[in-house]
Amino acid sequence: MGTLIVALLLAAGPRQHLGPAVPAHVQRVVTLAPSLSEVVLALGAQDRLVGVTRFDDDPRVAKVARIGGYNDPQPEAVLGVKPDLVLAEPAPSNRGPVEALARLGVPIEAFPLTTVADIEDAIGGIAQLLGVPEKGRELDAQLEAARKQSRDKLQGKKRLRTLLVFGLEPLVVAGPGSFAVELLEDAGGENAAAGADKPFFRWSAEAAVRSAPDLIILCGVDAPPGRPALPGLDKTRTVHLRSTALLHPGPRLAEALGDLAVALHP
Amino acid sequence: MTALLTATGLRYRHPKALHDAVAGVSLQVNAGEVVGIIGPNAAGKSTVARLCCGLLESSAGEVKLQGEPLAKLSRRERARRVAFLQQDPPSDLAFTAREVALMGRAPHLGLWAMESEADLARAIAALAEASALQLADRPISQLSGGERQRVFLARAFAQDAKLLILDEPTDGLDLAHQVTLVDALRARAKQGAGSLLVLHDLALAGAACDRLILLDKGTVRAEGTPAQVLEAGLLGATYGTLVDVVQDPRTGLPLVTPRITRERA
Amino acid sequence: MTSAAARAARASALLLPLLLAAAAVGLTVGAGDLSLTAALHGLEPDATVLYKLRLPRVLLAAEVGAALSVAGVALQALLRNPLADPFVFGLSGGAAIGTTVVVIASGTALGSAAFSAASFAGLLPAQVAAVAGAMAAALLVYTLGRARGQLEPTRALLVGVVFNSFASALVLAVEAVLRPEQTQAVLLWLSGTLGYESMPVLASAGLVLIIPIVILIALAGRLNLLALGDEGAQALGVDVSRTRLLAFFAASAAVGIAVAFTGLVGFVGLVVPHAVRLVVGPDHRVVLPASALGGAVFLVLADALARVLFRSLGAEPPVGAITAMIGAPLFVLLLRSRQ
Repeated sequence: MGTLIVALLLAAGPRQHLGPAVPAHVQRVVTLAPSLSEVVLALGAQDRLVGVTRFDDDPRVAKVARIGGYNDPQPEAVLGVKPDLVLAEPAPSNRGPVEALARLGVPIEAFPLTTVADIEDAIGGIAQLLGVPEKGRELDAQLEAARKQSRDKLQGKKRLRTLLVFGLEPLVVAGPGSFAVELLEDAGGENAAAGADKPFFRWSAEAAVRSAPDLIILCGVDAPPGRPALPGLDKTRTVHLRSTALLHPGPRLAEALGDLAVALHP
Repeated sequence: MTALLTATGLRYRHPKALHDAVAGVSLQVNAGEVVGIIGPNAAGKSTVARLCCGLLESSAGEVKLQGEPLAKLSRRERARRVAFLQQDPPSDLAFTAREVALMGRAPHLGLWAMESEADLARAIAALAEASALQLADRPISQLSGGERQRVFLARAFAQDAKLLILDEPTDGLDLAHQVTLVDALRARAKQGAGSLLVLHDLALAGAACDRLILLDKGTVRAEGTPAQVLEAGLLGATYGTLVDVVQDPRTGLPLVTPRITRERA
Repeated sequence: MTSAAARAARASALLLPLLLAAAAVGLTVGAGDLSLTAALHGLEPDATVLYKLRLPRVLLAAEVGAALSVAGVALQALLRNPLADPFVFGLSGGAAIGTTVVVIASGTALGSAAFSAASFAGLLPAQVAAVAGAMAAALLVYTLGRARGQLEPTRALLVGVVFNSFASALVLAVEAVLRPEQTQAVLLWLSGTLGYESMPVLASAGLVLIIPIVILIALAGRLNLLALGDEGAQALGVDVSRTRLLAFFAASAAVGIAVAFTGLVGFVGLVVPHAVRLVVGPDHRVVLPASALGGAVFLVLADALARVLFRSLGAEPPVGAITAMIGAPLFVLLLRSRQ
């Protein structure tokens, strides 16, 4: 989950290709982020996944080799599983090892995962690379259908000012231009941290109080027992997100949308 | 009248040492007396001084201060009965001379260690007694060795203990201040106080003390008046070199000089 | 010359208004603009910002600043070294290990059991672990820093420095296996951050802090005598070992409490005592209370600066970065002015 925060705080770049060309028939895939693994799994290519990060917690990859962390993939471990494609997220923190892999002759495809559109592009792009383009289109269509259904259902309802909290130490909230806020709006909420211009950012406790939210949604973080999640907002309704779907920008976004809807309209 | 200090059969061995530094020393200091401890290097002079004020604990024998066993007295009560002037006091202090003299009042203060006007006056008087009054507002770190020695002497005076134990008190003092020191000690002796001095300078020892104790290898080799102890044969044997003792033609006190021969070319 | 009591009272009379002024600054500046009149009339969100965010934070800064400065004075007296920082005794390293252990343990069954026990007392497990770690390190350094039954300042200092290096190596090694957001939490804590505590927690921390501060002020006269050397102090009736032990653990407790709330805020315990000594002289009976107040002023102002420094960017540096940025050059200046 933290992988996401760190990745998104570091402003991801555009889609990139590094190293030699991707072979026509990709057989061995390594992913450098749990959400990318989930994309591969959702595309039905579970058997082609040969390496994942140590943060991957999906039971279907429990037996797959670990190749390091998000920021510190181990080139040796990656080479050891002989991949013909490495899927990554473009970020300054993993640039060194990723570029080293490219130089060693491993094809790298890096997909930004900031907005819903980014994620849909990534699903489509990965589907293309894996030779299952129709599956990708299907997943994207399902997600768009879920979004439309949610929007239609909640049309005209009062929008709750909501703070999507992704980190408490320090305080990190979702801002405009993030998939999380896009889904929040689909689910009938309104982002209380609307003033900022970054998809995910560190915020001060004072600014949080001033934003006067009706609802605080904790995404993958827990308030210490006996304390309010945000100081000064102890009377604000606070809910803990039901699943980790919103933390993994991938095919589970439809599930995340459902989680948000439940949180907003219990 | 009880003696200010009675030490009997003191023994002490430094940690990991092979021999006793002090091997059965007994001595006494009475009110109105100035007693000197002399002897060659490593004779155990400073160790005896420390045993007598409880800074070191004797492995045998007993020290009594004004008739009461030192071991039974509280630390503060000891400090009210005996003041100790260490050799080579610290030089890098930011405290002023007055503040250091005031530290001598510590054994007389309460829990919060706050001095009264009387304590301040006592510290000033002690500075005057040690002819260090003009240094009162100067930090110790800015004083010369002799000036510092006088300030620490004032600290010992301010302690108002009947017994003073001074380890090399004339170290760094010029002639005039050596005289002042001896005068101050003799004046205190007249008022019933006593002093035990560790001294190197045998001439000064002869001039300043009523009684001398000659230590050698941790035992008392001789004890008596300066005229009895400062005897050429005894000193020569103890120090392991030839010494001459002559009588000061004016005072009649013994004057000791080592015999140093200069070969002429 | 006036007595130590009078000088202590005079220094306090001078510093108390300064502390009130610093608190006023701390209450009026922050991440956003605050209307004091609105806050005092109970209008939201200004009232919440003032009473629930800024006031607790100013109080915390004052308490931590006082604790670190007083501990600094005591440890400098013990080590007879004015350059000793409260963290040199291995306290920072011990606290860092404690916190890291908690971060790793979070998630395990045993960890959660311990967490609910700790939260019962209004404290966070990481805080309890930091204090435990700091005290354990203090005990270790105190034990290893002894020779012939006496605490030897240089030996203890060296043991402390070596232990701190060892601890940071350990923390760095462990960080490799932590999740990135855990690493971030540890780093944030290591750099020293003032958070928001509830009023009851602040009140009890303040009350608990009074104990070591009173012990140290009661020891002030004896701390003065320690400057004369062990023998010099002993000859004046001071039980040197007991004084050292008491002062050492009172200072460690004060540092432990400070560390529990804010992590490692450096330089406060070094710069404040130095500045205070420059003004009031070396007498601990004056230096200790003056440093307590001076430390509170310093950290309250440093925290106010932290809140406004990058305000336009919407970010806030950890207060430990501010104290180090002010403290390091100030310390060099103070050193030079002593010569």
